[in-house]
Amino acid sequence: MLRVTWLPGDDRLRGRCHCGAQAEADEPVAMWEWLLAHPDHPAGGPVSLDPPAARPPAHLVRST
Amino acid sequence: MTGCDPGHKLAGMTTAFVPNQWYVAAYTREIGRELFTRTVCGESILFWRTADGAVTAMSDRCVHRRFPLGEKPSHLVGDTVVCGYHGFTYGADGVCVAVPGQARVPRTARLRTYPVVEQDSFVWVFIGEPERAAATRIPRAPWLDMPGWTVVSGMEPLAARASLLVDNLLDLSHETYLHGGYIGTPEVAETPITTEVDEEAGIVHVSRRMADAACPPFYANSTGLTGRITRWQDIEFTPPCLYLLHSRIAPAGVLPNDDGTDPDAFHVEVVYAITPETASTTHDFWAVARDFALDDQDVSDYLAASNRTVVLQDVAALDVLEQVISGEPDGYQELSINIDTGGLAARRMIARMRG
Ligand code: FES
Ligand SMILES: [Fe+2]
Ligand SMILES: [Zn+2]
Repeated sequence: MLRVTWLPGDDRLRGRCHCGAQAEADEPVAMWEWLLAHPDHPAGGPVSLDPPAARPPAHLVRST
Repeated sequence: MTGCDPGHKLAGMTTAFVPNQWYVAAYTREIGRELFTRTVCGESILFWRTADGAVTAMSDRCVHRRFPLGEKPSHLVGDTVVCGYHGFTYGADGVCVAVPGQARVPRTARLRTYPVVEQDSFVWVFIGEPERAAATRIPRAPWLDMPGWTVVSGMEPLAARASLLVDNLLDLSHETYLHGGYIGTPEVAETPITTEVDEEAGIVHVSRRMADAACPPFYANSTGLTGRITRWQDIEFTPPCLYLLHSRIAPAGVLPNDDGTDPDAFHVEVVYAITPETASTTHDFWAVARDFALDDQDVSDYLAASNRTVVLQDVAALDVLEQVISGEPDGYQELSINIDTGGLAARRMIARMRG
């Protein structure tokens, strides 16, 4: 069982693997990556990979 | 060549679905001695009951010139289906037993058949390799067909991919915004959630327990509670198809007894079956079972109308979302935050099942 708890207002997610490993993360993508790496949970904890965007992307629409 | 009719598949849509799974195709009440068709995972399937009452499921396309067997003047004669175009006649096992003008029936003249099971008021159909059906779990929603519970239910067509409904149902914080004045109150979006992934059982749990919350009209009008309530929302999603919301409503502060009995609370089991029709459309089955006011038709009417309204609010939003997403280049951008923890877990489990 993998468990993630979140207290709104606290902003942090707390994850616990069935092996007992625990970590905190800022957002759920990084949290699940870290938990699912079992048994090799990265020692540095969850890392959000999103690079800060220089400029928000345009909303592109496909030509039909 | 297997010699078996391949089933009628809509073009290019096979990879969008989790194969080798049971899906809800219909309510048992929908299938009788009339021919009935529904498309599940891109396969158009014909359903009917034999004279003995057993549900059968087979491909909805005649092997001769592809006429839809669910289309008039195709019809049942005893336990056979007669194609309305040239009269090819099929038994309950999908095997063609008669063709016009000749005694010899080609050996390959048979329809693909599908394993079917009636359970919990649903007709479940197995999409995939039939030999794997028996060993594949059919998730349960027992309250839909159980003494002590009263049920209202329906199905709304959704012009959006099933994954959008999964996202929607796994994050109930949207109730506050999309369903305000019906089932949403401020506390829903404000209350902590716990997400659990049970990999072995293949279940995602999302639990939100509001100790002291406003009672939304949906529950005030059905339970008669007027003050603040303790409201629990415990989601149990068994991908790809069955979603359960165990909802517990009680006057604020009233908890179950230590022995597990819970006489002072109202229990509502909200069930959704999320059945892909095509890669971009979905059958949105919904049911609301309750353990109170069992014989009160007004409560049934109210809950049916209210839940349908709420479902249609989701349908309207998701139909728009499907249009937007399908118009965007692949790999569109999203941004996930804490409320998406359960939805992401469900997506991941489904992606893994899809293989
Ligand atoms: S806030 Fe969720 S889609 Fe806009
Ligand atoms: Fe909703
Ligand atoms: Zn671990």
